[in-house]
Amino acid sequence: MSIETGLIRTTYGQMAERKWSDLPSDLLSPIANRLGLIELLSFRGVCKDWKSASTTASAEIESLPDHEPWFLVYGSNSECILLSNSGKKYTINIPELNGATCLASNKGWLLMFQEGSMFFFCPFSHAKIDLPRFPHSQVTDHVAAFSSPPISQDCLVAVINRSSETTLELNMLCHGAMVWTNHKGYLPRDAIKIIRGATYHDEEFYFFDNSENLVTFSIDKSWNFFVIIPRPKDKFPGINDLPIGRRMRHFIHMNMKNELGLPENVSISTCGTLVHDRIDKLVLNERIEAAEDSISYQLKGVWIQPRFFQVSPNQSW
Amino acid sequence: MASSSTSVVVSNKEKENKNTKKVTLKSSDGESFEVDESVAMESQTIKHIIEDGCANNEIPLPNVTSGILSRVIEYCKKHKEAAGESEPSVTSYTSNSTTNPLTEWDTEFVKVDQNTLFDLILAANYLDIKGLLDLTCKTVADMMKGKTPQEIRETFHIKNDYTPEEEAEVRKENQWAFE
Repeated sequence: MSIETGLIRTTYGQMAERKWSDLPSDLLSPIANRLGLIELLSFRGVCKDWKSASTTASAEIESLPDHEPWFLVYGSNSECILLSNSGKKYTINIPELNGATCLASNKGWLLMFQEGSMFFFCPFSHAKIDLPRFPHSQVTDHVAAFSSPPISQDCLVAVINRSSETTLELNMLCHGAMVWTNHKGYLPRDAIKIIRGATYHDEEFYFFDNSENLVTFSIDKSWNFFVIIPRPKDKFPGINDLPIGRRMRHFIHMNMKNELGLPENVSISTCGTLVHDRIDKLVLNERIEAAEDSISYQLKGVWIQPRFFQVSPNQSW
Repeated sequence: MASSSTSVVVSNKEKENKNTKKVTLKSSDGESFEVDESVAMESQTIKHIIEDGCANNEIPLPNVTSGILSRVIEYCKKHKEAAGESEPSVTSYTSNSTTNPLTEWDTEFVKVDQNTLFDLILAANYLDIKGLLDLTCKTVADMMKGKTPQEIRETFHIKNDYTPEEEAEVRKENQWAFE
C-alpha cells in the first residue's frame, strides 16, 4: 500500500504524502468514535497519540439499533468464550467473572453478583463499578434490570425474586444511594411463574415469565399484573399495547450450543438483553439442560453488546 | 399582449435575484469557484462569514486547495439538492440506505486515494460540514476493519512509539482479539 500511494498521480497534482501522524487529535477522536470493538482495540494499540485520542470512544456503534448482540460464555474459571454476531469465536481471560453470576445485561454493561457483592462490569475494558452490598448472600431465581448506564445520574437498579408462594420481593437501588430498598408484591406462584426477563421502560420495570404473564413495578412503587394476549381487532378498555417485544428461545433458535462448539453434556443458563429489531425486544433468560444420562457441567452465558467503557479508577456509584 | 410579456420578464428577474444568489470561494492556490450561496452555506464556517456580513466579493479559504475545494463543492451541491427533494437525512454513524438516499453516491465519493481522503477530513473540519466529516471519518474507520495494530500502522504510516512496557500493557488489553 505504501509503495502504491507514492505512484498514484492524483488528478489535482498533489504530490506530497499526507502524514496521518499529523492528523490533530480532535480529528482522531471522531474516527475512534466510529469504530466497533475489535477495531477500537486495534486503534488503541497503534501508538500513544491514538490511544489518548480514544479515551471517550466506547464502540458506540455496537449499540445501534439492528446490531445483534454477541454472546459471552463464562463458568467456573477465568477463560471465557466470546461469539460475535458474525460468528467469530474468541477466547478471553476475564478473572472478574470467575464465580460470579450475571443478573442483567444492557447496552454493554453487566450487573454481576458475587457472594453478596454487586457490581457493574464491562468485560472488554474491565471497567468495574461497585455497588452497595446486596441484602441476599446468594442468588437463586433472581432477575434484574437497570434503567440506564451506571455512570448516569438517574440509574435505577431493580432485582426481583420470589420470596414465598405468595409474594415477590424487589430490591431497588437508586444512583448514589447507599442502601437497597425492599418492596414486596402479592403475586402468587400460579399468577406468575419463574421470571425469565426484566427490563425498564418509561418509568416502569417489566418482569416477564416465559409464557404470557407480566408484572410491572413503577417508580412510584406500585405493582401491576398483566396477561399478554395477541392484539384483538377492536380496542377494549383495559387493554394496553405492550411496548416491548420478546424473543423467548433465542439461544435455541440461533443454535448457539452448536455455534459455540459446546459439548452435549453441558447445561447453560443464559441472561438476556434488550435488542432493537424494528421495536425494542427483550431476549429472555433461558436454561438449557445437558443431554440426559450424562455427567454434566454447568456454564453461564450472557447476551451482550460489545462495548468498551472507560471509567476512572475512582468512579463510584 | 405586449404588457403581459413585459410583466413576465420582470418576474423572472425577481426570481433570479431571490433564488440564485451566488458567492465566490477562493482556494489556497488562487482558483475562484462561484457557487450558489445556499450550497456554500452547507459549510457552517462559510455560513457564519456570510451572516456576519464579511463576505464581500470573495471568501478566501487559505486552508483548502482547489482540488479539494472542487470536491467539497460537489459534495455540498449534491447534498443540498437531495435535501431540497426529500426530508433531511439524518447522518448517523452508519448510513442506512433506506434513510439516506445518497448512500451510494457518498460511497463513490470517498473512493479516493489516502492523501485526498486526509485532505477532505481536514477541509470538512475547517469548513465545518458535519455530513462530510461524518462520511470521511467513517471511511477511515472502515479502513481499519479486520486489521491488527501493526497492519493499521502500515496502512497509515504511523510509527509505534510505545515502550516495551507500554506495548506489553496494550497487548494485555487486546491480545485476545488478534490471536
